[in-house]
Amino acid sequence: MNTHNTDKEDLEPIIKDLLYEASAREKLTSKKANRFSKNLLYTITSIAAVFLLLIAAFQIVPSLSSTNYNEIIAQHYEFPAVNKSRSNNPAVIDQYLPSLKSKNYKEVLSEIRKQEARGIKLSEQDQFIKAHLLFSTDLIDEAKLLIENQNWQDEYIIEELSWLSFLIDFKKKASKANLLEQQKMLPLKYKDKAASMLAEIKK
Amino acid sequence: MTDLQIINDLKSYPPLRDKALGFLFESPKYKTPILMFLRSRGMTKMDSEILWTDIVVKVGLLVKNGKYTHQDKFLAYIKNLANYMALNFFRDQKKKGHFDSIEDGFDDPAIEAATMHHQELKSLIDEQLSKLAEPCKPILLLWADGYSMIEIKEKIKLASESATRKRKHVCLKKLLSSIHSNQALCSLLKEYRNEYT
Repeated sequence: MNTHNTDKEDLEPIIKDLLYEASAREKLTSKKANRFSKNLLYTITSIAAVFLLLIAAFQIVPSLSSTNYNEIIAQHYEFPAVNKSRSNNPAVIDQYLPSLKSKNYKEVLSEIRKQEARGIKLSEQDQFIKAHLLFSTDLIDEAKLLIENQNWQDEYIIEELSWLSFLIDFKKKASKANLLEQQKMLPLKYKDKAASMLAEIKK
Repeated sequence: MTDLQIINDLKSYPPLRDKALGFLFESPKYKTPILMFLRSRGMTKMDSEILWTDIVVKVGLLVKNGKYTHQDKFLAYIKNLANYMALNFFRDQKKKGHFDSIEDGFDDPAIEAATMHHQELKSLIDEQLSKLAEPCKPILLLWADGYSMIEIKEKIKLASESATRKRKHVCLKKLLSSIHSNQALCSLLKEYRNEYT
Protein backbone atom coordinates (compact mmCIF):
# COMPACT_ATOMS: atom_id res chain seq x y z
CA MET A 1 0.00 0.00 0.00
CA ASN A 2 2.83 2.31 0.98
CA THR A 3 4.79 1.50 -2.15
CA HIS A 4 1.68 2.31 -4.21
CA ASN A 5 1.30 5.68 -2.52
CA THR A 6 4.99 6.48 -2.89
CA ASP A 7 4.71 5.65 -6.58
CA LYS A 8 1.81 8.05 -6.89
CA GLU A 9 3.74 10.81 -5.14
CA ASP A 10 6.82 10.14 -7.26
CA LEU A 11 4.83 10.53 -10.42
CA GLU A 12 3.19 13.77 -9.33
CA PRO A 13 5.94 16.18 -10.61
CA ILE A 14 5.97 14.41 -13.99
CA ILE A 15 2.18 14.52 -14.18
CA LYS A 16 2.32 18.21 -13.32
CA ASP A 17 4.76 18.80 -16.19
CA LEU A 18 2.53 16.90 -18.58
CA LEU A 19 -0.49 18.86 -17.40
CA TYR A 20 1.48 22.08 -17.87
CA GLU A 21 2.22 20.99 -21.44
CA ALA A 22 -1.45 20.14 -22.06
CA SER A 23 -2.49 23.54 -20.71
CA ALA A 24 0.09 25.46 -22.77
CA ARG A 25 -0.87 23.48 -25.87
CA GLU A 26 -4.54 24.30 -25.32
CA LYS A 27 -3.76 28.01 -24.97
CA LEU A 28 -1.59 28.13 -28.08
CA THR A 29 -4.14 26.14 -30.10
CA SER A 30 -6.96 28.47 -29.08
CA LYS A 31 -4.70 31.44 -29.92
CA LYS A 32 -4.19 29.89 -33.35
CA ALA A 33 -7.94 29.28 -33.74
CA ASN A 34 -8.67 32.88 -32.73
CA ARG A 35 -6.13 34.15 -35.20
CA PHE A 36 -7.68 31.93 -37.88
CA SER A 37 -11.20 33.15 -37.14
CA LYS A 38 -9.94 36.76 -37.11
CA ASN A 39 -8.26 36.19 -40.47
CA LEU A 40 -11.42 34.54 -41.75
CA LEU A 41 -13.46 37.50 -40.57
CA TYR A 42 -11.07 39.94 -42.28
CA THR A 43 -11.18 37.89 -45.47
CA ILE A 44 -14.99 37.69 -45.48
CA THR A 45 -15.28 41.43 -44.72
CA SER A 46 -12.82 42.28 -47.49
CA ILE A 47 -14.62 40.07 -50.01
CA ALA A 48 -17.99 41.57 -49.00
CA ALA A 49 -16.56 45.09 -49.34
CA VAL A 50 -15.19 44.30 -52.80
CA PHE A 51 -18.57 42.85 -53.84
CA LEU A 52 -20.39 45.93 -52.54
CA LEU A 53 -18.00 48.18 -54.44
CA LEU A 54 -18.49 46.13 -57.59
CA ILE A 55 -22.29 46.26 -57.23
CA ALA A 56 -22.14 50.03 -56.65
CA ALA A 57 -19.82 50.45 -59.62
CA PHE A 58 -22.12 48.41 -61.87
CA GLN A 59 -25.04 50.56 -60.81
CA ILE A 60 -23.22 53.85 -61.30
CA VAL A 61 -21.21 53.12 -64.44
CA PRO A 62 -24.13 52.31 -66.81
CA SER A 63 -25.93 55.51 -65.84
CA LEU A 64 -22.73 57.44 -66.51
CA SER A 65 -21.84 55.80 -69.76
CA SER A 66 -25.20 55.22 -71.43
CA THR A 67 -28.44 57.09 -71.92
CA ASN A 68 -31.43 56.09 -69.88
CA TYR A 69 -34.13 56.66 -72.53
CA ASN A 70 -37.05 55.78 -70.27
CA GLU A 71 -35.92 58.28 -67.67
CA ILE A 72 -35.69 61.07 -70.28
CA ILE A 73 -39.15 60.24 -71.60
CA ALA A 74 -40.56 60.22 -68.08
CA GLN A 75 -39.21 63.74 -67.61
CA HIS A 76 -40.88 65.10 -70.76
CA TYR A 77 -43.94 63.00 -71.46
CA GLU A 78 -47.37 63.52 -69.97
CA PHE A 79 -50.50 61.55 -70.71
CA PRO A 80 -52.86 63.92 -72.59
CA ALA A 81 -55.61 65.51 -70.51
CA VAL A 82 -58.92 63.89 -71.42
CA ASN A 83 -62.23 65.65 -70.96
CA LYS A 84 -65.74 64.37 -71.48
CA SER A 85 -66.67 64.40 -75.14
CA ARG A 86 -69.16 67.10 -76.15
CA SER A 87 -70.27 65.54 -79.44
CA ASN A 88 -73.60 63.81 -79.93
CA ASN A 89 -71.91 60.43 -80.05
CA PRO A 90 -70.18 60.04 -76.68
CA ALA A 91 -66.62 58.58 -76.83
CA VAL A 92 -66.05 55.12 -75.34
CA ILE A 93 -63.24 56.58 -73.29
CA ASP A 94 -65.75 58.80 -71.43
CA GLN A 95 -66.73 55.80 -69.29
CA TYR A 96 -63.19 55.43 -68.01
CA LEU A 97 -62.27 58.98 -67.15
CA PRO A 98 -61.89 58.29 -63.39
CA SER A 99 -59.57 55.32 -64.12
CA LEU A 100 -57.58 57.46 -66.53
CA LYS A 101 -57.24 60.19 -63.93
CA SER A 102 -55.91 57.64 -61.46
CA LYS A 103 -53.48 56.43 -64.16
CA ASN A 104 -54.86 52.87 -64.34
CA TYR A 105 -53.78 52.68 -67.98
CA LYS A 106 -53.62 48.90 -68.18
CA GLU A 107 -57.13 48.54 -66.84
CA VAL A 108 -58.53 51.17 -69.28
CA LEU A 109 -56.72 49.57 -72.20
CA SER A 110 -58.15 46.18 -71.35
CA GLU A 111 -61.67 47.67 -71.08
CA ILE A 112 -61.29 49.36 -74.48
CA ARG A 113 -60.13 46.10 -76.02
CA LYS A 114 -63.21 44.39 -74.54
CA GLN A 115 -65.45 47.06 -76.08
CA GLU A 116 -63.74 46.57 -79.46
CA ALA A 117 -64.22 42.82 -79.16
CA ARG A 118 -67.94 43.41 -78.65
CA GLY A 119 -67.96 45.27 -81.99
CA ILE A 120 -68.17 48.76 -80.59
CA LYS A 121 -66.46 51.19 -82.96
CA LEU A 122 -63.93 53.52 -81.40
CA SER A 123 -63.99 57.20 -82.31
CA GLU A 124 -60.88 59.03 -83.51
CA GLN A 125 -60.54 60.50 -80.00
CA ASP A 126 -60.79 56.97 -78.55
CA GLN A 127 -58.12 55.70 -80.95
CA PHE A 128 -55.87 58.61 -80.03
CA ILE A 129 -56.20 57.81 -76.34
CA LYS A 130 -55.70 54.12 -77.09
CA ALA A 131 -52.40 54.99 -78.83
CA HIS A 132 -51.28 56.81 -75.67
CA LEU A 133 -52.46 53.92 -73.50
CA LEU A 134 -50.40 51.51 -75.60
CA PHE A 135 -47.38 53.79 -75.32
CA SER A 136 -47.82 54.19 -71.57
CA THR A 137 -48.07 50.44 -71.07
CA ASP A 138 -44.90 49.87 -73.11
CA LEU A 139 -46.70 48.34 -76.09
CA ILE A 140 -44.85 50.71 -78.38
CA ASP A 141 -44.90 48.55 -81.52
CA GLU A 142 -48.67 48.23 -81.30
CA ALA A 143 -48.94 51.98 -80.68
CA LYS A 144 -46.81 52.70 -83.75
CA LEU A 145 -48.90 50.32 -85.85
CA LEU A 146 -52.10 51.99 -84.69
CA ILE A 147 -50.76 55.46 -85.56
CA GLU A 148 -49.61 54.31 -89.01
CA ASN A 149 -52.74 52.35 -89.96
CA GLN A 150 -55.37 54.83 -88.89
CA ASN A 151 -56.69 57.42 -91.31
CA TRP A 152 -56.54 60.39 -88.97
CA GLN A 153 -58.69 63.41 -89.82
CA ASP A 154 -58.49 65.79 -86.90
CA GLU A 155 -55.62 68.27 -87.38
CA TYR A 156 -55.09 68.64 -83.65
CA ILE A 157 -54.82 64.86 -83.21
CA ILE A 158 -52.43 64.58 -86.18
CA GLU A 159 -50.13 67.18 -84.59
CA GLU A 160 -50.30 65.47 -81.21
CA LEU A 161 -49.56 62.10 -82.81
CA SER A 162 -46.39 63.46 -84.43
CA TRP A 163 -45.13 64.05 -80.89
CA LEU A 164 -46.18 60.56 -79.81
CA SER A 165 -44.44 59.07 -82.88
CA PHE A 166 -41.29 60.94 -81.93
CA LEU A 167 -41.54 59.55 -78.40
CA ILE A 168 -42.05 56.02 -79.73
CA ASP A 169 -38.97 56.27 -81.94
CA PHE A 170 -37.02 57.83 -79.11
CA LYS A 171 -37.98 54.90 -76.88
CA LYS A 172 -36.99 52.49 -79.65
CA LYS A 173 -33.61 54.25 -79.70
CA ALA A 174 -33.84 55.32 -83.30
CA SER A 175 -30.77 57.03 -84.75
CA LYS A 176 -30.16 60.60 -83.64
CA ALA A 177 -30.31 61.79 -87.27
CA ASN A 178 -33.74 60.23 -87.69
CA LEU A 179 -34.98 61.76 -84.46
CA LEU A 180 -33.56 65.16 -85.47
CA GLU A 181 -35.53 64.97 -88.71
CA GLN A 182 -38.70 64.21 -86.75
CA GLN A 183 -37.98 67.00 -84.27
CA LYS A 184 -37.96 69.54 -87.11
CA MET A 185 -41.47 68.48 -88.13
CA LEU A 186 -42.94 68.74 -84.62
CA PRO A 187 -45.36 71.47 -83.60
CA LEU A 188 -43.68 74.41 -81.92
CA LYS A 189 -44.80 73.43 -78.40
CA TYR A 190 -42.94 70.11 -78.67
CA LYS A 191 -39.85 71.27 -80.58
CA ASP A 192 -37.97 72.49 -77.51
CA LYS A 193 -38.92 69.44 -75.48
CA ALA A 194 -37.67 67.16 -78.26
CA ALA A 195 -34.47 69.20 -78.64
CA SER A 196 -33.64 68.91 -74.95
CA MET A 197 -34.42 65.18 -75.09
CA LEU A 198 -32.00 64.81 -77.99
CA ALA A 199 -29.39 66.81 -76.15
CA GLU A 200 -29.54 64.30 -73.31
CA ILE A 201 -28.56 61.42 -75.57
CA LYS A 202 -24.98 60.53 -74.73
CA LYS A 203 -22.57 59.53 -77.50
CA MET B 1 11.10 40.79 -26.96
CA THR B 2 14.73 39.71 -26.78
CA ASP B 3 15.79 36.10 -26.26
CA LEU B 4 16.74 36.89 -22.69
CA GLN B 5 13.39 38.55 -21.95
CA ILE B 6 11.55 35.51 -23.31
CA ILE B 7 13.65 33.17 -21.18
CA ASN B 8 13.21 35.24 -18.03
CA ASP B 9 9.45 35.48 -18.57
CA LEU B 10 9.18 31.74 -19.25
CA LYS B 11 10.78 31.19 -15.86
CA SER B 12 8.42 33.57 -14.08
CA TYR B 13 4.69 33.48 -13.18
CA PRO B 14 1.78 32.38 -15.39
CA PRO B 15 0.64 35.65 -17.05
CA LEU B 16 4.19 36.63 -18.06
CA ARG B 17 4.96 33.05 -19.01
CA ASP B 18 1.86 32.87 -21.23
CA LYS B 19 2.79 36.14 -22.88
CA ALA B 20 6.33 34.94 -23.59
CA LEU B 21 5.03 31.60 -24.87
CA GLY B 22 2.55 33.39 -27.15
CA PHE B 23 5.30 35.65 -28.46
CA LEU B 24 7.61 32.72 -29.13
CA PHE B 25 4.77 30.89 -30.89
CA GLU B 26 3.89 33.83 -33.17
CA SER B 27 7.26 35.44 -33.81
CA PRO B 28 8.53 34.80 -37.36
CA LYS B 29 12.07 35.07 -36.02
CA TYR B 30 11.65 31.61 -34.46
CA LYS B 31 8.65 30.18 -36.27
CA THR B 32 9.79 30.65 -39.88
CA PRO B 33 13.21 28.94 -39.68
CA ILE B 34 11.79 26.05 -37.66
CA LEU B 35 8.85 25.48 -40.00
CA MET B 36 11.22 25.65 -42.96
CA PHE B 37 13.49 23.18 -41.26
CA LEU B 38 10.59 20.76 -40.55
CA ARG B 39 9.30 21.07 -44.12
CA SER B 40 12.82 20.37 -45.42
CA ARG B 41 12.70 17.14 -43.42
CA GLY B 42 9.69 16.01 -45.44
CA MET B 43 6.95 17.00 -43.02
CA THR B 44 3.61 18.27 -44.32
CA LYS B 45 2.54 21.86 -43.65
CA MET B 46 -0.15 20.74 -41.21
CA ASP B 47 2.18 18.36 -39.31
CA SER B 48 4.83 21.08 -39.14
CA GLU B 49 2.31 23.53 -37.65
CA ILE B 50 1.18 20.98 -35.05
CA LEU B 51 4.76 20.08 -34.18
CA TRP B 52 5.67 23.78 -33.90
CA THR B 53 3.05 24.10 -31.15
CA ASP B 54 4.57 21.11 -29.34
CA ILE B 55 8.08 22.52 -29.76
CA VAL B 56 7.09 25.86 -28.22
CA VAL B 57 5.38 24.05 -25.33
CA LYS B 58 8.44 21.90 -24.77
CA VAL B 59 10.77 24.94 -24.85
CA GLY B 60 8.50 26.52 -22.23
CA LEU B 61 8.73 23.45 -20.01
CA LEU B 62 12.50 23.01 -20.33
CA VAL B 63 13.19 26.68 -19.59
CA LYS B 64 10.70 26.71 -16.69
CA ASN B 65 12.34 23.61 -15.20
CA GLY B 66 15.82 25.11 -15.49
CA LYS B 67 16.98 22.61 -18.12
CA TYR B 68 18.13 25.38 -20.44
CA THR B 69 21.19 27.48 -19.86
CA HIS B 70 21.24 30.64 -21.91
CA GLN B 71 24.37 31.09 -24.03
CA ASP B 72 22.99 33.49 -26.67
CA LYS B 73 22.02 30.54 -28.84
CA PHE B 74 18.29 30.34 -28.16
CA LEU B 75 17.25 29.78 -31.78
CA ALA B 76 19.92 27.09 -32.21
CA TYR B 77 18.60 25.44 -29.06
CA ILE B 78 15.02 25.50 -30.41
CA LYS B 79 16.26 24.09 -33.72
CA ASN B 80 18.04 21.29 -31.88
CA LEU B 81 14.85 20.58 -29.96
CA ALA B 82 12.92 20.62 -33.26
CA ASN B 83 15.40 18.06 -34.58
CA TYR B 84 14.66 15.70 -31.69
CA MET B 85 10.91 16.33 -31.88
CA ALA B 86 10.86 15.64 -35.62
CA LEU B 87 12.83 12.44 -35.14
CA ASN B 88 10.38 11.37 -32.45
CA PHE B 89 7.47 12.31 -34.72
CA PHE B 90 8.73 10.18 -37.60
CA ARG B 91 9.48 7.25 -35.27
CA ASP B 92 5.98 7.53 -33.89
CA GLN B 93 4.47 7.68 -37.37
CA LYS B 94 6.75 4.79 -38.37
CA LYS B 95 7.74 6.74 -41.45
CA LYS B 96 10.85 5.58 -43.18
CA GLY B 97 12.73 7.40 -45.86
CA HIS B 98 12.99 10.56 -43.85
CA PHE B 99 15.85 11.15 -41.50
CA ASP B 100 16.30 8.69 -38.66
CA SER B 101 19.11 10.30 -36.72
CA ILE B 102 19.93 13.76 -35.44
CA GLU B 103 21.56 15.81 -38.16
CA ASP B 104 22.93 19.35 -37.98
CA GLY B 105 22.34 19.27 -34.23
CA PHE B 106 24.18 18.50 -31.06
CA ASP B 107 23.57 15.86 -28.41
CA ASP B 108 21.53 17.16 -25.52
CA PRO B 109 20.54 14.47 -22.99
CA ALA B 110 17.92 16.75 -21.37
CA ILE B 111 16.19 17.39 -24.69
CA GLU B 112 16.50 13.75 -25.63
CA ALA B 113 14.85 12.66 -22.39
CA ALA B 114 12.15 15.33 -22.61
CA THR B 115 11.20 14.44 -26.17
CA MET B 116 11.68 10.67 -26.17
CA HIS B 117 8.08 9.65 -25.48
CA HIS B 118 6.47 12.96 -26.37
CA GLN B 119 3.82 11.84 -28.86
CA GLU B 120 2.78 8.84 -26.80
CA LEU B 121 2.56 10.72 -23.52
CA LYS B 122 0.74 13.61 -25.16
CA SER B 123 -2.08 11.43 -26.42
CA LEU B 124 -2.22 9.35 -23.22
CA ILE B 125 -2.44 12.39 -20.93
CA ASP B 126 -5.10 13.95 -23.18
CA GLU B 127 -7.05 10.71 -22.93
CA GLN B 128 -6.76 10.68 -19.14
CA LEU B 129 -7.84 14.34 -18.92
CA SER B 130 -10.88 13.68 -21.06
CA LYS B 131 -12.03 11.08 -18.52
CA LEU B 132 -12.11 13.65 -15.72
CA ALA B 133 -15.40 15.24 -14.79
CA GLU B 134 -15.82 19.06 -14.72
CA PRO B 135 -14.29 21.12 -13.17
CA CYS B 136 -11.33 18.78 -12.54
CA LYS B 137 -9.62 19.43 -15.86
CA PRO B 138 -9.47 23.25 -15.59
CA ILE B 139 -8.47 23.05 -11.91
CA LEU B 140 -5.58 20.70 -12.65
CA LEU B 141 -4.45 22.66 -15.71
CA LEU B 142 -4.42 25.92 -13.75
CA TRP B 143 -2.56 24.24 -10.90
CA ALA B 144 0.03 22.83 -13.32
CA ASP B 145 0.32 26.31 -14.87
CA GLY B 146 1.46 27.63 -11.50
CA TYR B 147 -1.63 29.56 -10.42
CA SER B 148 -2.20 29.88 -6.68
CA MET B 149 -5.29 28.37 -5.03
CA ILE B 150 -6.82 31.86 -4.61
CA GLU B 151 -6.34 32.56 -8.33
CA ILE B 152 -7.84 29.19 -9.27
CA LYS B 153 -10.77 29.84 -6.90
CA GLU B 154 -11.48 33.13 -8.67
CA LYS B 155 -11.09 31.69 -12.17
CA ILE B 156 -13.27 28.63 -11.57
CA LYS B 157 -15.60 30.50 -9.21
CA LEU B 158 -15.38 28.10 -6.30
CA ALA B 159 -16.58 28.90 -2.77
CA SER B 160 -13.28 29.28 -0.92
CA GLU B 161 -9.54 28.73 -1.08
CA SER B 162 -9.75 25.62 1.10
CA ALA B 163 -12.58 24.22 -1.03
CA THR B 164 -10.41 24.79 -4.11
CA ARG B 165 -7.44 23.09 -2.47
CA LYS B 166 -9.64 20.13 -1.48
CA ARG B 167 -11.12 19.95 -4.98
CA LYS B 168 -7.67 20.00 -6.56
CA HIS B 169 -6.51 17.28 -4.20
CA VAL B 170 -9.50 15.05 -5.07
CA CYS B 171 -9.06 15.69 -8.79
CA LEU B 172 -5.35 14.91 -8.74
CA LYS B 173 -6.03 11.76 -6.72
CA LYS B 174 -8.57 10.67 -9.33
CA LEU B 175 -6.15 11.36 -12.16
CA LEU B 176 -3.30 9.49 -10.46
CA SER B 177 -5.58 6.52 -9.71
CA SER B 178 -6.73 6.46 -13.29
CA ILE B 179 -3.10 6.56 -14.48
CA HIS B 180 -2.11 3.81 -12.08
CA SER B 181 -4.86 1.59 -13.36
CA ASN B 182 -3.26 1.86 -16.80
CA GLN B 183 -0.17 -0.36 -16.56
CA ALA B 184 1.33 0.72 -19.89
CA LEU B 185 1.00 4.41 -19.12
CA CYS B 186 2.33 3.92 -15.64
CA SER B 187 5.51 2.19 -16.76
CA LEU B 188 5.97 4.73 -19.56
CA LEU B 189 5.73 7.54 -17.02
CA LYS B 190 8.23 5.85 -14.75
CA GLU B 191 10.64 5.43 -17.64
CA TYR B 192 10.14 9.07 -18.59
CA ARG B 193 10.67 10.18 -14.98
CA ASN B 194 13.91 8.18 -14.65
CA GLU B 195 15.29 9.61 -17.89
CA TYR B 196 14.09 13.16 -17.46
CA THR B 197 14.80 13.92 -13.81
